[in-house]
Amino acid sequence: MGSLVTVLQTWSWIVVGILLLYAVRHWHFTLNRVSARQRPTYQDLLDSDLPAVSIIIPMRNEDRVATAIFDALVASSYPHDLLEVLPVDDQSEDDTPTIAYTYSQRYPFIKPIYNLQGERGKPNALNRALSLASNEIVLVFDADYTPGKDVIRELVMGFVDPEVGAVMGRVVPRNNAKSLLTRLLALERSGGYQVDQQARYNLDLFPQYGGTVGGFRRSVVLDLGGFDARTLAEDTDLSARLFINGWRILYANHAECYEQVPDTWSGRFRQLRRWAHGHNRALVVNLIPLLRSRKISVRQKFDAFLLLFIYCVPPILLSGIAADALLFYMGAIPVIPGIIFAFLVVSFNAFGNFAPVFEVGAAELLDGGRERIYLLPCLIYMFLFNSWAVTLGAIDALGDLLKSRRPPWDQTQRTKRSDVSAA
Amino acid sequence: MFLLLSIVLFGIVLMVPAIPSIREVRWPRDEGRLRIPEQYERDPRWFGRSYREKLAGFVAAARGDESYQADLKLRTDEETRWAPDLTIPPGERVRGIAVGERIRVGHGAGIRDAYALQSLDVERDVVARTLTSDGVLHLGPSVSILRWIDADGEIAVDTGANLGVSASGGARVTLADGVRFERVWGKPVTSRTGATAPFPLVERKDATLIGAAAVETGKPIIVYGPLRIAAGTTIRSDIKVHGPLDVESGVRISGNVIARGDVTFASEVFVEGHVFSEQDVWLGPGCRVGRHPGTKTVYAARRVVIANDVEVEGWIVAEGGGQTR
Repeated sequence: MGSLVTVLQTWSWIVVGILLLYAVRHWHFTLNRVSARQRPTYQDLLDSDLPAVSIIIPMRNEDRVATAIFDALVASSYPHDLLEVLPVDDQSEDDTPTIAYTYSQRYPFIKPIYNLQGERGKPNALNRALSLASNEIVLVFDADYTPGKDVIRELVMGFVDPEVGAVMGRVVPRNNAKSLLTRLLALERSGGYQVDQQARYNLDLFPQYGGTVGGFRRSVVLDLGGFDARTLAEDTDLSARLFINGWRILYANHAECYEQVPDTWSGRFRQLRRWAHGHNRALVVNLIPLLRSRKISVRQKFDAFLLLFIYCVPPILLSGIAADALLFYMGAIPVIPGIIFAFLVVSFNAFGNFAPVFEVGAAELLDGGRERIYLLPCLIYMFLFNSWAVTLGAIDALGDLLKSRRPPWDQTQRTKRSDVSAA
Repeated sequence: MFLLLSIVLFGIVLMVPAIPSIREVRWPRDEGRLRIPEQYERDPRWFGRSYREKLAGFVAAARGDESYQADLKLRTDEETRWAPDLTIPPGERVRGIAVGERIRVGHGAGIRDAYALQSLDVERDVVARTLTSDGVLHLGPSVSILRWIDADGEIAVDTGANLGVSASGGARVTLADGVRFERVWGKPVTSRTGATAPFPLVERKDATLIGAAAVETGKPIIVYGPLRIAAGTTIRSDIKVHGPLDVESGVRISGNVIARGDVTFASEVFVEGHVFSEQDVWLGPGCRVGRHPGTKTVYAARRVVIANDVEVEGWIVAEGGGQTR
């Protein structure tokens, strides 16, 4: 009994330490974003010698959104003779292939790729398109994204820097007004991009390539072995491999693009679980190479580790709460000093939630948010929901790792464009 | 019982933070999506182009008349007057928009907006909000622009003028000494100043030195720390420096130059690509950036300082303000 209490108490303090570390990290990022000089990107460079660029759009059953992204790309200000759009139809069962074909007949730079048989999933689609792409600079957009007129140029300009291996733009939810969930997701996205990614770029740490509204050098990705078909987070995995090999990831905050966020709790739960699964696999696969890399500094390694480890934090937090509850009901925390228990609970919530809340609050300040700031406390409950999904994702990743099995690919369900046009 | 009570109490405590959210959840007041400029295209002459569009109707109605006046609905109602040859007397304060074939603004006058279809001549010490010309534009000494200027033809700027946030020309833009600016676009932007001596380069003990022999490399040159390039060197690749970059006279670089520290070109340096610095850019006399008819950019997150006879084929952006000397 005594040793169990000791173990639980020790674990509690470790959990508090981990959460404190993340709180300090996010606080530091927030201060940097709000008060420090912001590092410039290359979007202000005007160039008459723009490079040719290939744009990959992985698509499966996207007939609800396909027209919008094709129209957006056709309307782009980037010279059409330098564009190659490669929609990869991944065995769709709806009208997606027909829509892609129709556009390819009208616009010769749209060249659909049809994956009629073989393995499905985004990494496979990307690998297939990479092998057929003609250009060194490759951008990726998911099918529910609608890039603005200048977004392609703003992303491409990042590659004037010879150290930049990948570029990431900012994702902005389009369907905010749909529900409370979409509003909360919009807050999370704001904090994640406007503050967290920008601060990591400012501090020359580890901004992340997010798999869409971004791009990379084709030759570099091919040299690194292409996309790992066994992962559900090919973006995190690629980010880590690029960083470990000395390539920089540029975050272009002004290259903004609308997306649809999940508008059902079940959809969001599945999405988070998939992300956690893939992210944790990226941690396991890349941890040793990260620690051994000689191409990045200790400071950069530490930040990259904290980023890769971040989807382990919710299960750790839940285990910490469970440990303290056990301690309390085992009488290891007497009623009067039970204040310590309350302190720990508050601390868990504070450090677990306030850290992102710093970032979300600052992001809303920068973005001109007004009354939506009152939704910040709701993120506490969102965090509990997230923690559960992420914990299951971590368990999935552990299971796959132990049984050496390949995870099934899952895709976020799209909403009809007409459903969100009023947003 | 105690367990149940503690759970209920904990649940109540957990609900407390939600109180401020109730109103916004139940009756949303701020649920619109973040506005992003989807139609935005980076255009260094955007101010001039959009302004001409707004005045196109007025010009069509007025052109051919000896005088014409109307109120234009822009952001506010603007009293707009037309005359083929419009002269604003010295020292006069004029509200509204002046439009004409040829406009002359006398010294010391204060005007808001002027739009000339052929030529716009602004004498010394004038303060103006915006100036637009479909032909040439001349700014006299110490003219101060509060917002922007744009001309389809050449722009000549005399000593000590302040060009506001943007100056853009469809042809050559020539800056005399002491001109302050933030963004200047021209084909090319040139300087005619008294600063003919090479800019001095800082001696840095820890700097990497690239020698005078031509550097034939397909790979980019990436240096961690300061970099100095010796006089007469030719480099056929991009350069990225994690520190200051000092370039001696007569260097030719065929790629882009990117530095996290200051970039200083002593004199007669030719860069075919962009020049980008997270700090200052100093372009000594006779430096060239870009090659006609192409377009390249000189960007500094802080200052750009330009000496005599510099030519930039395209855009100069100085986030912290630029100056000729």
